[in-house]
Amino acid sequence: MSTRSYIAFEQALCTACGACSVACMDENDINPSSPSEMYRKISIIEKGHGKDAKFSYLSVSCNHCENAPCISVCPQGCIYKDEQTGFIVYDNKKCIGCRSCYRVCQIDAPVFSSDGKMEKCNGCNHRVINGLEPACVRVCPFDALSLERLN
Amino acid sequence: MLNLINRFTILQALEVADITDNGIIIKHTMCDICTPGPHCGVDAYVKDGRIIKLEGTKGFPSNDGKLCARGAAGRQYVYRSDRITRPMRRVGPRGSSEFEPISWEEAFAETAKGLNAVKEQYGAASAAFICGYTKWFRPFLHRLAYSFGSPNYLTESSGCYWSGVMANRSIFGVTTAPDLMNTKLYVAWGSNPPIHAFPLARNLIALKKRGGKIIVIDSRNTQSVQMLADLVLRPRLGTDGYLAHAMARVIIESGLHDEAFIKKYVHGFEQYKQYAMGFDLASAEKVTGVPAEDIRTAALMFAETDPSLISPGTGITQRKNGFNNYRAIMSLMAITGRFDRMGTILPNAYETTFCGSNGGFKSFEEEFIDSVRPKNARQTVGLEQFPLFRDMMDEGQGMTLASQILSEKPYPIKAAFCTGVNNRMYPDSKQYLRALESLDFIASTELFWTDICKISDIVMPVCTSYERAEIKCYAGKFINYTSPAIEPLGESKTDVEVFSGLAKSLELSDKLLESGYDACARYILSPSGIKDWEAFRTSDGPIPIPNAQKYIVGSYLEGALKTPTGKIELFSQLIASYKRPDLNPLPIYIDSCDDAPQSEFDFVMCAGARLPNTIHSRLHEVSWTRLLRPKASVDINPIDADRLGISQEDEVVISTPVNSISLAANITETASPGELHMYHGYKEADANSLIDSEQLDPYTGFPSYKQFRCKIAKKEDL
Repeated sequence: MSTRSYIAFEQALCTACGACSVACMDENDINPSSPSEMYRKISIIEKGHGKDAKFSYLSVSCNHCENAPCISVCPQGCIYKDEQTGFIVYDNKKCIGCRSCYRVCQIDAPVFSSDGKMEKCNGCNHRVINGLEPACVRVCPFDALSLERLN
Repeated sequence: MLNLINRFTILQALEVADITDNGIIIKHTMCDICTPGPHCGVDAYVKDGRIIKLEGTKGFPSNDGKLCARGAAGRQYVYRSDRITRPMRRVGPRGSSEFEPISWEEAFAETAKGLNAVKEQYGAASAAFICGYTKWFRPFLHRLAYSFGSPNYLTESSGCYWSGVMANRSIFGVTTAPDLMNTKLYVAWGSNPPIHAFPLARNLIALKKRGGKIIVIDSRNTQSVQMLADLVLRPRLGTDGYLAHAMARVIIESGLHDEAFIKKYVHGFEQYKQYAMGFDLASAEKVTGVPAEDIRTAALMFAETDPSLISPGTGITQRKNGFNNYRAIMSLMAITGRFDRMGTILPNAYETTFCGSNGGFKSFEEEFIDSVRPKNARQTVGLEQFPLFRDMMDEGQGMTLASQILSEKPYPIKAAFCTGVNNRMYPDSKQYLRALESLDFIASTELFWTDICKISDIVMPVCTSYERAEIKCYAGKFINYTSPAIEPLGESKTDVEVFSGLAKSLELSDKLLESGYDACARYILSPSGIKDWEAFRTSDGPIPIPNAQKYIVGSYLEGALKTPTGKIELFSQLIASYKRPDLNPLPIYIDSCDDAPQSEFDFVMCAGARLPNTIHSRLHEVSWTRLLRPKASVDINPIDADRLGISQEDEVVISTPVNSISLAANITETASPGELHMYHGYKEADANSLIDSEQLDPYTGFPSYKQFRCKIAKKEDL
């Protein structure tokens, strides 16, 4: 039986406040130079006008897909599924920055920092292995994010 | 720029079961980036004396493990690259940024010399003691000012929070707090709890889960509108008072007002009723832009759901008619008997136990300040102009300081002791800076290298909540005494240590203030019933307050209320006593907009409605939060943008008769047509530099941050 873990998102509870994005950067010690480099991104999508205007508040990072296309497409074998948690994790030492993973990802989860190497959400695999929630789940003021573990 | 630790430090640490083996210590502290309201509990992961990670403290009274984006960015805030780490003396001309490091002894001695020189030449009142952010040390600064002999203790709350306090006091004799846990209907009027105070919003979500309803009244289309509202009213900016009176008329005409309650407890109902009857639904629709039927529905929903409550935001008051608009809203609570009853609004018996937090008992904070109050002092800044402020608040009206400095009327101000002061919090912020620049002497305490620091003679570095021990009360029940999570950065001290040191150098013979924070707090909190102070000091988490009293709902109404008539006053006898034609005892409605010609200045701007990623200027230079909204930008409705040919992120110029600024356009349905919204405090696009400092609410002296005329154009079209 395969294992899968992912960070579930309940949109009705999200305000796009960005606490998740900030906690993610604090946890991963990253200091991106632009929003596109954040592992977890927030956005607001507006539809309609006046009193019919509807706002969708969103928080998006790697979906940790069941059959993650980024794994097979990576020529260097950087991306793999963690055996214990099922999170889609990576070791980017061999990354050549070809962006193949980025091209097959529908939600732009892989990001590329100044050294050109791929980085992304690893589900806070290190925290989950140690019995802790991912940083974004831990911080979310409205519990819009939660850790799902399937066996 | 930011000295980030090895990114795998925590990762490696957590791979070992006992993380303390890796030298990481978890310190329980609090976040002090925003107001004294939440002051959320924080677990700081500290390794080798540096914070490496922050998380909310689980089980903490306000936040229960959660943090907002601002609090989550606390590590970058603490280690901001422009933190001041040594006392500095200015050596070049004002504003030149030419400073040299000095010792604390020199800083204290020179500050004492500068303040005393002004005292000798002009009198103690000519030195102003100005409180900016944060607010944790307020009573201590108040005492320092009074011990020095100056009545001029001034805070930013004279443009932010006090107007709502004054409105409540004028009606009910006390401030009030919503009894959210027991209500069935909550009206969020001009506030957006998910963004300005998430612990409150969590309680609102719980209210909805138990079947309660929420009405949101806001000119903006906010998270509250989208996520919480069962009914939404979006009045034009500043027309809240008109809307409230139209609702009052619906309530009275439907016989939903509480006649027995009014007869027993309310003063001035007949005059109020007569006035409110002038606000029919058709006119209200025209003025407020809210469909008449929605006004009617909201009024009936509020009055027919019992208990229900209205909680107005502070922004309501930051307009020329702001105080009266706020009073008009709260009058709806009075006429429906929704006061001092479960699920309505309750009187705050002990609102200021300690530094703006409620501990459920009467402390000696007032005595701490009052015992050194200067005798026969000159009139406090701004209070001649604003008698209601004089009679209700124990401080000066700081929004008028610049004008007094520049005019030297009624007397000159020649020195300022600034604690975290930010000129961009004041109307016509350039004028404020110019006024301070003209003083004989300025000393500042600050975390960061601000524009006020640049014009100061002496700059003294202070530290964040992570670097100090601090006491705070919660929910009228608990009290917490933190320990420093890390050592103060560089040579920085706590603000109160600076005041104590300065009190010594000034030779004020104020032994209590000289003895420091712990001794002063111990005195102020001596009625708390805490027996073992040392155990409290080292408690490492909130403890119950022994002498906290549970308020008996209805007990305040049983006695005489703290108003001139002893009743709830819809007609304020205090205001009537001033006999000033510009101050009406009734909460009348007038258009708040300034006199700038509408033909040219055809938009109305509201500056400062909360964004999730910042609070005043404090996080604009923190990259983690800045990434969430990288550019200073103005919200404009798609219809207006389309008409003016403005595209997303186009650079636009916003002008008033006072100033012009340029920034990016953000096209969004958040703003209604004809209205603009932007956040304040950006150095590259300072919203408050656009505001006329003379446009003040005549009751409170509050500036019109949230309603002023302006025009907008694409930069390339100019």
